Amino acid sequence: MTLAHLSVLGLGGVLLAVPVLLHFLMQPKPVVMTFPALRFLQKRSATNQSRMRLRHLLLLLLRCLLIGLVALAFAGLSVASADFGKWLTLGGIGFATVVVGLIAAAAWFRENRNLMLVSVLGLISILLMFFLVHTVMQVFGKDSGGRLIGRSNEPVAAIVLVDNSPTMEYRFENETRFEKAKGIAAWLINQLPIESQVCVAATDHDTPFFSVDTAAAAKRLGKLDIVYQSATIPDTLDRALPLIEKSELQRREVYIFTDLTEKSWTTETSGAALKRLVENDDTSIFLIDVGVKEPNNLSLQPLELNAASIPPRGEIVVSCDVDRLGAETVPSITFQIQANDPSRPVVRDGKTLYPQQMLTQTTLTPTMAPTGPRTATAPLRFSFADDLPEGTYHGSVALNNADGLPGDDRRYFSFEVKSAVPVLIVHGPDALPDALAACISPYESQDDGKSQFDVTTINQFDLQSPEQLDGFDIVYLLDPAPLSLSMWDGLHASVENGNALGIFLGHNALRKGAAEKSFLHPQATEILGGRLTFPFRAPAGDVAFSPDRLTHPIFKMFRKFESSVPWNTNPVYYHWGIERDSTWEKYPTEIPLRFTDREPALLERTIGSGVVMVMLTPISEPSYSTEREVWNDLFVGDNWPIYQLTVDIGKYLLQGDRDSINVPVGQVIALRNDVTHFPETYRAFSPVSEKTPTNISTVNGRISYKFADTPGNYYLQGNYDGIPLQRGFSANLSLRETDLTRVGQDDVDLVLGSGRYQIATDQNAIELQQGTARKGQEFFPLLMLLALVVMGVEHLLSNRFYKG
Amino acid sequence: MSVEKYLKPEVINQIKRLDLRAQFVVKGFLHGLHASPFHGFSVEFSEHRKYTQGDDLKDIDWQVYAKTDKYYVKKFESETNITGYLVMDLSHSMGYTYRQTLTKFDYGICLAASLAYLMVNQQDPVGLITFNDKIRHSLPPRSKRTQLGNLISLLSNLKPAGVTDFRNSIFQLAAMLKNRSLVMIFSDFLIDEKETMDAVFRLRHSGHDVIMFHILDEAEVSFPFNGVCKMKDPETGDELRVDADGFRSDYVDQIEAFRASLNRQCQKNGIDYVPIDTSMQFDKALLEYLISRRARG
Repeated sequence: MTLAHLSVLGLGGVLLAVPVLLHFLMQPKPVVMTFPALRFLQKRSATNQSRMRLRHLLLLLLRCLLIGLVALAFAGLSVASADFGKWLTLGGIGFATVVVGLIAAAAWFRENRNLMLVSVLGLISILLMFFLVHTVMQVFGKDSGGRLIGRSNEPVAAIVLVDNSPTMEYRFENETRFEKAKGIAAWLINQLPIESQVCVAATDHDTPFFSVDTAAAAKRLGKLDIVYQSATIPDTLDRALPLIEKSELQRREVYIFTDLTEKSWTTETSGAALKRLVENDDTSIFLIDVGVKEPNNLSLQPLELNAASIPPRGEIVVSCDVDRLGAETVPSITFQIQANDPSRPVVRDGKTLYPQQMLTQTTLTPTMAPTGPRTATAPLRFSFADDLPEGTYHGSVALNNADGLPGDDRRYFSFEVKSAVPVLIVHGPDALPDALAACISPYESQDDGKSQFDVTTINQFDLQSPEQLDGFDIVYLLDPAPLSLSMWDGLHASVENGNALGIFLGHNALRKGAAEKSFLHPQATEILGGRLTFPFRAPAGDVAFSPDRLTHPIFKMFRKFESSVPWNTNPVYYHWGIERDSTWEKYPTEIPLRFTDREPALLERTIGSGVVMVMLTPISEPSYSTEREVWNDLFVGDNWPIYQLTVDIGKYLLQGDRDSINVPVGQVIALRNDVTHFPETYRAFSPVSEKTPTNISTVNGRISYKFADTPGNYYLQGNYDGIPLQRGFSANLSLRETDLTRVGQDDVDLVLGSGRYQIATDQNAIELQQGTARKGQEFFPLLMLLALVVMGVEHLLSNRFYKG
Repeated sequence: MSVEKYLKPEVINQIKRLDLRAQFVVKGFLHGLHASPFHGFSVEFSEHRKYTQGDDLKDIDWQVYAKTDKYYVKKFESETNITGYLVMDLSHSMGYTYRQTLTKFDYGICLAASLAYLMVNQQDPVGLITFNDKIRHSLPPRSKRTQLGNLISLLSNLKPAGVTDFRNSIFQLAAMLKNRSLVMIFSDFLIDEKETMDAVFRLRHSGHDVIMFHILDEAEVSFPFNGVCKMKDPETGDELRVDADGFRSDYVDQIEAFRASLNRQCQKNGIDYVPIDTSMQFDKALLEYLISRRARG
């Protein structure tokens, strides 16, 4: 219980003396009159005198009570909101006790006109007294649900946490959520007591700190901007809370400005500081919901490219979905690819000018699916093919419709045009290379120059020395027979230098039921990813590929089909077993694919700058053989999953796909940079035209860019032998960052604790709830009402007592 | 109807001469009794008696019936002679009124004069005794016409003063009275109840008929005061500060209980008790007298 203005109470105390003084000093002079029948008055004079004194006393009491109530009301008597009910009950019972007690006393005083009435009233009075005592003990005997800390005008240690994730850019009623949040937050900071400690925190991964003063806090707030790789509210809060925990200020408040989107509130674990905040009630929490409950939005889903690099006459295909939230809007989408202009970007007058020339620009109006709360259209598909010079190309897909959230209205992509990559396919005895060659470089593609691969096929017997591997970016060993140590060493060196190696083991590695000695050599196990054991046999055809998860890039095309891929139609009768050895600690190794018997089917090992993929069953088996048992039926019948898998392994082994040039915002980009073919240093241009270009250099054969914090096309400009050359990449927002799905109250309760916070949507609500939290629940209206009642009773009684 | 207005104290107050007052009161009273059919006021008319079988229905006084719910017939000739004594309380308290036109004393002498007028007209001897702490005046009973003048003359000159010693005065009166008489006491009886009744019983035991006219001021009956008042007893000089509003109901209860107690004791001992206050018309007292007179006829 607190009093906002103690002086008013003091004044009330002084004023209380007024009726008392009037009672004793200013009693009215009685009218003197003759009355012969005085003897009848004398008989009852004692009783009458007592009654008169009682009435005077009652009136005096009522008048004092009236002044006391008014003084208490203006003194700002308040209690913690959680205790308000208890105090109200206490007051109610107390009042009822007094009233019933007075009635009972009056009835008794009037010489017991009705004994039953007096008895019943007395009994009720006693019961009420009992409840009063009980309630008093409850109020004062237990820890209250809430308490008031300090005075209402005391400085505050406050955290003003503003959600600056991309969804806060949602525009509604002519202002973004972020603008609204900043507006309210600025007002809030301005009205905080002047010596308050204020930490303006944001979901931008910055380290929270107390500003020097409220003006500095306001300045920091003004400088906040949307970030495209946001942290969650719970994580940010957890990092900021220790500040106010360590503050010497008694009053602590947390203000969270958020649009209550799921991505900002979903967290797996609560930090220790957040747990303390929920468990202790010494900090007031205000949640300011600036979100829109039913947003309207069209959003472009992440783009899918058929390849990150294409040959000069190859075709780039971009697919995407459009999601619709809320009102029906027919989207209009523009697809564009910029021309490779080495002279752009260029900085003029402090601003970056980007390439303007377009290779293609197409606008489509897709047919939307039937309406619904969240309806996606059929995937959009854009394609482009031309005879392009080698280089990196940038493009974008953009929604032309203006909607609430701009962050998901444009997606960016980059791709490289490269001449066909030289590929060497080495096949062992009885191994058929045709299937692989057809997969990675179809004949028709070779003819029209659209193939990404320039394939050379040789028999293993023709591979005499490691030098023969030079000049090939990718080498495939199809069911290889034992290799010499020098060849293993040569392969190892080739991979280490950044080339790719694909090995498909089969019957040629078998000798007397186990692995041929050549494959157990340490140099071989380093490449193979482990030690071959023996072939697993499954003649019933009940073993096939069975990927655990489709997260690896080689499964990109399978993700849309998920579990409906018919892997079982292509059984594997034999496959090699491999056991993990010490080389796993030396090289990063993973198992992207397993057989249905849970044995590894495909291993990927990174050696140096290159990569090795080892499949433990061959893709070069004949469909039928009279001389031996075939190891699988991978290319028999409906074999599209195997075909697609082989194609995707081929693409993955291609360097371009591994050094992804289409990344999410916030990811560090590390591109291979062979200084024998590319510039050693580059100027990196961000999509933010105000940003100054940065210089980056090649380190360990790679160029790294750490500042891809904005979605868009990034340009790396260099000069090789006097010829301007351009590389680059694109960064896009992840779907999570633009998800407008709102979180439920239960989820917020999980983070902040049920009943521990107050929700406001505007300044007035904050003021009200802030007042309730700081001042507690005020008794002013109740006290004034009570004073009015007391005034009425006093008036009635005085009229009754002093008629005429 | 015109003469009936003189039964009202506020009207009779406008007449200053007591003899005229008495005359008008009695005329108004008798006119009321003979309103229909009008037989005129005559000397022959003496009093009423209870209706008995064989009486002429024309003689039934319907006014009396309306007031008493009993059948009475008028008697037109004097059948009896009874000696009456008008005993007037002269004490200071009798001079009190709060808001009426007549004090208790004024009301009492007006009533006494009217009764005297009535009795003289019936040729009954009537005397007058006044007292406060002792008997102050004594006019022996006579039935002559001149007696009325003497009696009224004495009454007119009386002033209420002094304290009451009712018991002593009545005992003194009882000793004075030799023959059986009708003693009509006009007092507010604001004295000890036992003392009052002892004195009255003394008269009664001496064989006298007694009518107690208990005259109170209207304010003494209804206690119309408000707020805090300081009440002063005019006789004893005692003062009391009271909250009038809080006292009213208690006081009214007490005064009613007092009157009821007197009435009960009087009835028990064959005494007529007439509680009146100064706001009431005179006919109630006169009628009571006539009924009492008839009972002795």
